Amino acid sequence: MNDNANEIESGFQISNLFQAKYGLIWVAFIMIGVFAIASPTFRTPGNLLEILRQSGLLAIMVIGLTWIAATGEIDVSYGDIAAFTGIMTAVFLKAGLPWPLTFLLAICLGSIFGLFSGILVVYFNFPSLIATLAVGSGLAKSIARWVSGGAVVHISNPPGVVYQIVYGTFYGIPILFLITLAIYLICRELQDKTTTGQHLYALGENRQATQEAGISERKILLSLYVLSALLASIAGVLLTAMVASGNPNIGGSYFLDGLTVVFLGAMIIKAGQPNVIGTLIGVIILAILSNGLTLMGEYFFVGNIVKGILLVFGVIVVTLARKRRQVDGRFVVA
Amino acid sequence: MNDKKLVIFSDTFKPITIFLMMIVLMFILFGFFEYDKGYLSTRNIRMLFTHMSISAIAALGLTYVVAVGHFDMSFYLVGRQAAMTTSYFNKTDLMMNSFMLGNIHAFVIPAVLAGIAVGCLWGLVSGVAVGIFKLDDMVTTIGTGFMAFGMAYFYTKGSFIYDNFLTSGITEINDAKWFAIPFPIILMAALYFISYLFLSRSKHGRCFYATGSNKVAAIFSGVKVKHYIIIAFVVCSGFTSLAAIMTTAAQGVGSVKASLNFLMPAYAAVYIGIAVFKKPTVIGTFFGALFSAIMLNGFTLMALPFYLSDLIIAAAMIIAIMASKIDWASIKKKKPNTAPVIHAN
Repeated sequence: MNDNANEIESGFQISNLFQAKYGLIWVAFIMIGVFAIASPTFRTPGNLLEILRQSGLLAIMVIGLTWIAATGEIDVSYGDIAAFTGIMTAVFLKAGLPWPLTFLLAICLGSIFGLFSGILVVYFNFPSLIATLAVGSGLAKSIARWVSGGAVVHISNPPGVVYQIVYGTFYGIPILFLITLAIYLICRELQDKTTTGQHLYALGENRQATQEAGISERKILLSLYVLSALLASIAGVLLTAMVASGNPNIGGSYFLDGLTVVFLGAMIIKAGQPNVIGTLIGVIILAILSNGLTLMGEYFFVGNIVKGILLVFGVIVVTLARKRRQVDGRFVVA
Repeated sequence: MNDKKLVIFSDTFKPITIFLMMIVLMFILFGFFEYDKGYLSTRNIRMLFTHMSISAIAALGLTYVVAVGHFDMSFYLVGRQAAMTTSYFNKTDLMMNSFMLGNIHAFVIPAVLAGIAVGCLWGLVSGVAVGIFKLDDMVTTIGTGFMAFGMAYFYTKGSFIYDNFLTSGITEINDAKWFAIPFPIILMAALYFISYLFLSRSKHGRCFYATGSNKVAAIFSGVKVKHYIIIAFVVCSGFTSLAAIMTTAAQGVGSVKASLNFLMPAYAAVYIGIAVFKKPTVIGTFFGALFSAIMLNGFTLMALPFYLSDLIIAAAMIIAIMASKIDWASIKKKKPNTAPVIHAN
C-alpha cells in the first residue's frame, strides 16, 4: 500500500505500464487480439459490449469475496446465495407482489445467510470454508430447491425498470456495466482512502498485530460477510431479471468463476493482494475468455480447464508476492 | 497410572458414548415413527450401511487432509475423472476379451486401479503444490479440481457410458456379497480398520497430527512435514476415486456426475467427528458418517425430497460444531485439554 502511494506521487511514467503488476492487463489485450483475429464475430462492437454487460453480474457478486479474501478468510457461498435470491424473486413476482417489495424482501432474505455465516465464523470460530460451505451449498441451495420444488421457476414479464437496468444501454454502453463501474469506483475509494479499507489488509497481513492495535476483527469480518451476501443477493435479483427465471442450481456455475477472478485480480494493482479494481479487470478477462472460447467453438469444459490453470497461476503469484513482502518486512523498516 | 487410564477413557470412550447415545436416540426416534415401514428390518439396515459406505470412504480420505491441517476442495471433482476413466476402460474391447475371474472379467481390476491412479495423480499435484510450494490449499485445490473436472469430459464430451456395464462384471463391486454382507460394507470396514491402525495406532499417525497442529514444531521435531502433506492429499483423492467408482458400479452407468454430491457429506462427517472428538479421527469420521446416514435413511423413508439431504446434513454439522464450541468454553476453565487441536487457518 505504501509503495502504491509513493508511485502516485512520483507521477506518471510510460515504463510504469510494463511493470509486473500490470501484466494481466497486457494479457487481456493479447487475448482480445488473438480472439479478434481468430473469430470475426468476436470483433464486432456488439459482441464486445455484450462481454461488458455479461461481466456485470459476476463483478457485483464477488466484491464481498474480494475483501474477505483480502483478510485471509474465504467465502464460497456467494453463488448459492445469488441462486436463492433469484428463486425468491421469481416466486414473489409470480405470487403477484409489487416489484420494489419483492426485491427488498429477496435481498433481505439473502443477506440473512451472510449474517449467519458471519456469526458462525466470528462468534463460533468455524473455519470460514466450513461455515460458508454449510450455509451456501447446504442451507441456501437446499432452501432454494425446497421453495421451487427443485425446478426452474419462470417469470413471464420481468418488471420494466429492472429489465432496463439489465438490458438497457446508455449511449451504446450497457447500463448494467455502468452501474457496476460506479459500484467499483465507490468500493475502490472505500478500500484505498478509508481506514476501514486499510484495516482489511492489516487483518490479512497479521491477525494478532491488528487485534493488538485495537481494531475490532469481529466487527469487520461480520460486516464483510453480510456485505458479501448483500451484493450476491443484488446480483441474484439482476440474474433473475436477465434470464427471466430463477434456477436453484445456478450457484455452482459462479463458484469457480468468482474465485478465479478474485485471485487473478490479486495479481495486479496491489501485487499479491485481492483488490476491487483487480477483480473488475479479472472479471472482464474471464468474460473475454469465455466469450472467445465459445465463439471459437470450444466445449465449455475447455473453459473449465483454462480457468483452473489461471486460478492456480494466480495463487502462485499471490504466494510469491506474499513471501517477498514478508522478507521485506523483516529487514526493511518502512 | 489410574489417572492415565481415566484420561484415555475420557478421551476415546466419552465421545464414543456420546455418539452411541445420539445414534440409539435416532434409531428409537425413526423406529418409533416408521416401524411399519420396516425401519429396523435387517434389509433396511443393510441398505443403510451400503449407502453409507460410499460417502464414508470419501470422508475417510478427507480425514487425512484435515488431520494435516489442510482443506481439500478438489476431491469430489477428481472423483468424477476417476469414475470416467474406469468407465472408459470398461467400454474397450480389451475388457470383453479378457479372461473371467468367477463372474467378472479380469480387466475390471486394472480398470478400477487406473481410475484410482488418475485420482491419486491429482492428489499428488495438489499435495506438491500445497506441501512443497506452500500455495494456499483451498484455492489451489479448487483450481486442480476444476482441471480434473474439465478433463472428465474429454472421454465422451460429457455423455454417459453404458457399454459393457451389465456384462463386464464391474457392477459386482456394488452387488457382490460375502457371507451375506454386501461388498461395499466390507470394503469400508477394511479401509477404516487399516486407517485406524495407521492414523491412531502408529508412529506415522502421530506425525500426521503433529503436522496438523503445528508445522514449525513438527519440522523441528524431525517430522517430514512435506511428505505427510503429500501423502494426505494422495490418500484423499485415491479414496474418493474409489468411492466414485463404487457409485458408478452402483448406478451401472459411467457419468461425469459420479461424485458430484460428495462435498457436503464428506465435510459433514469429518467435522461432526471433530465436534465430538475435538480432533479429526478415524472413529470420529466413521460415527459422523454413520450419524448422517441414519438421518438421511430415516428422512428418505419419511418421503422427504432428495434435495433436502444437504440441508439436513449441513444443519446437523452446524449444530454439532456449535454445540461443541459452547461445551468447550465451560470445560476449558476446569481443566486444560491435552488433545492436539487442529487449527484450521
